[in-house]
Amino acid sequence: MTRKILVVEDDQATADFITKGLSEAGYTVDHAADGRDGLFHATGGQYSAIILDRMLPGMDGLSVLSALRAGGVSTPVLILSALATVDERVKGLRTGSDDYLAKPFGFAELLARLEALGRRNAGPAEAVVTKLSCSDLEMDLLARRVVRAGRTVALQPREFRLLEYLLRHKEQVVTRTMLLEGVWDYHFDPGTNVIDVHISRLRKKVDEGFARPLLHTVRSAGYKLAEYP
Amino acid sequence: MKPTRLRAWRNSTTLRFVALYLFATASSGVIVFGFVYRASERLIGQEFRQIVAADRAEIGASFARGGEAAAAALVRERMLGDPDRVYLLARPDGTAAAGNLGSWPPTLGPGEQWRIMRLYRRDLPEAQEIGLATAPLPGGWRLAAGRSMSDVDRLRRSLEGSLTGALLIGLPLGLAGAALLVYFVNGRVRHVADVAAQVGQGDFARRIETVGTHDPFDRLGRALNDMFGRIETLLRELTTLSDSLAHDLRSPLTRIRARAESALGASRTPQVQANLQALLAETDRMLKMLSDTLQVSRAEAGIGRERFEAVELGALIDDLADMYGPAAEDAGATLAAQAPAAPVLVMGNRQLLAQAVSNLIENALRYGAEGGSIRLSLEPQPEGVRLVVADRGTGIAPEHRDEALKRFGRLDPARSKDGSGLGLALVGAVARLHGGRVALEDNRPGLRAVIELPAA
Repeated sequence: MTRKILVVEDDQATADFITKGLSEAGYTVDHAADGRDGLFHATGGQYSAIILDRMLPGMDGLSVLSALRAGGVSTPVLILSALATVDERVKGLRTGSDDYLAKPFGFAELLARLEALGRRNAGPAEAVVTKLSCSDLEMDLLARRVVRAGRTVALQPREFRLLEYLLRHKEQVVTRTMLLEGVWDYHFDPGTNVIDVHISRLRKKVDEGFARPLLHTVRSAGYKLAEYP
Repeated sequence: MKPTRLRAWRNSTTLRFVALYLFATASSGVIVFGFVYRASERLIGQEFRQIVAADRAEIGASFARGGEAAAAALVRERMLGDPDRVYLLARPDGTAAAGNLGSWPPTLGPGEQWRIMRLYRRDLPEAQEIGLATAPLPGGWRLAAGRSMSDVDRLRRSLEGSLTGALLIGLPLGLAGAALLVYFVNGRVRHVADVAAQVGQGDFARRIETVGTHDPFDRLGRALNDMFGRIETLLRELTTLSDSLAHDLRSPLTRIRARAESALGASRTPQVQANLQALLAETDRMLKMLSDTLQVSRAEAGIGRERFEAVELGALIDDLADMYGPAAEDAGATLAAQAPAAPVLVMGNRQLLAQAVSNLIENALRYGAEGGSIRLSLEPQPEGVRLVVADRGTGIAPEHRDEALKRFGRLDPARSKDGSGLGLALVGAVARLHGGRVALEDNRPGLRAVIELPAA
C-alpha cells in the first residue's frame, strides 16, 4: 500500500503544516497549489487519499471532485474547507467526498480521518462482517451481543453502536466529531462534551474490572480502541 | 382556519364591491331615464301649446267673423280629425254650445295661456289630464281649446316600461360584469400576494407574472419584481461576502492554530504547553462564534431550504434525548423525550433542526438543570406542531424573553458560562427558515422553549 497523499491547498502555510505533519506520520506528500494542477495530479498519480481545499484558484474544489468522480477516479477524498456550515458540509459529502473537515482543524483530527479513509479503502471488498473483536472483546453483530473475556457486557442500543464504530476503527484514533457523525449522523458541533460522557459510560462497562483497558483517550485528539495505547 | 378567514374577508370585499357597482348602475339608469322623460315632456308640452294656441286663435277669429254657428262648425270639424283634441265653446252662462267638455269649469279663467287640469269629457267615461288655453269672445262667450295629455302619459308608461326592462336585463349583466371584474382583480392581487409571500419566506427566485401592458397592475408587478431582484442580488452578495469573510478569517485562524499546535508538539515546558493549550481553546471558541454567526445569517437568508426532506420529529427528539441523556445526568438532571405514537412529519433540514433542538437542550442544561427534569415533547396542532423543550429551572422573566431571542442577546453577563450567545438566535433563524417561529413560555417554574413548525 502506497502511503501517498495529495494535498490540494492554495494557502502555503496550511499546506506546509499538513505536509510536515503527514511526513512525520510516515506519509509521502505531493502538493498542488491550484485546482487544475490538483486535478492533473489526482488523475495521474496513485494516491491513497486526497486532501482537497474548496476555494481554490483556477478551479474550485467541488468541480475538481466532480471531474475526478466523472473520470472514474475513486481515490478517497477528504475536503478541507473554510466553508464550515452544516449545509456546506452536506453539500460536499453529496458531491462525492468521503469526508469533510472544516478549517481551522486540529492536525490530530485530520490524521485520524485520513487513517480512517485509508482503512476503508484498503479493507476487503465489503465482505459481510458479522463479528468484530479487539483483544478479548468480541461483538456479535447478528445476536447484538458483546462479550469480554467470556463475560457478557450488557449495553444500551446507543452504546452498542458506539462500540461498533470504535471496533470498526480499532487501532485508530477516532475523534469526537467522527463519532458524532458516524454514530449519530449529526454534522454540527455540540457545545457540551456529550461524546465524552458517552465514552466514559461505555468505558465503565467495557473496561471496569479488567486488568487491561482497551478504550484509550488520546490527548487533544479523541479516543482509540486498541489492545495497547 | 386562517385560509377560511382570509376567504371570508375577501368575499366581503367582493360583496361590497358588487353592491356598490349595482347601486351605481341602477341609479345612473334611473337618472338617465329621468332626464329623458323631463326633456320629452317639455318638448311635447311645447308642441301641444303651439297647437292649442293656434286652435284658439282660429276658432276665435271664426267666431268674430261668422258668429256662433261658424265657430261651432269649426270646432266639430276639428274634433273629428283628432280624438285628443278638446274644445269648449261656452255661452255666457257657462253651458256648452259646442265641443266635448260638459260645461265651463268654475276655476278656469277666461284668458289662460296654458293650464293643465283633470277634467271629464263628454265623449269619454274617465277624467283626463288636459292642457288648455282659453280666450274671452265677444258677447260674454268664452272659448277653451285644449289637448288631452294622454300622449305624455303614454310616454311616461313607455319610458317606465323601458327602464324596468333595462334594469331587468342590465342588473344581471352588471352583476356578472362586476363579478368578472372582481374575479380578475382578485386573481391578480392574489398572484401578487402569493409571490410576495413566497419571496418573504425565502424563495427569492420567484417573480410576479407581467403581461407587458402599462396598467397599474403591471406596474405594481414590475416594481415588486425589481424589488425582489434587488433583494436577491443583495442576498447573493451577502452570501458571497459571508463566505469570503469566513474564508478570510478562517485562513489566518487556521495558521494560528497550526502554529500553536506545532509549537505545542515541540515544547517540553509545562507552562508554555499550558499557554498553548489555552491559545488553542480560545481559537476554537472564536471559531465556534464565527461559524454560529455564519449559520444564523445563512439560515435567515433562506439557505438550507434546498435540502428540505421529510423529517420525523419523534425520532429526532428521541435521538437527541438519547445523545444528551448521559450529559444531563452528569449535570444532575433527567432528560426525557415524549414523542406521540404516530409519526410527526415536517419538511425540513434534519441537521439544522437537530442543531436548533440541541441548542435548546444545551440552554436547558446550562440554566435549568438545577430544576431536575428536562422534557422534550411534541404537541401536534391543527396547522403544524410545537416542539417543546421544558425545564424546571429559574426560567426567564417575561420582559427579558425578547432580548433572549436576539442575536448576541445573552441575558445576564454573570451567567455567561461559555456559549457564543448565539444559541437562541440560531434556533429562531432555523425556525423561520422552516416557516415557523420560536416562543419562550413560562413552565411554572422554569422555561418552555417552543419551536412552532408548520405541518409537512
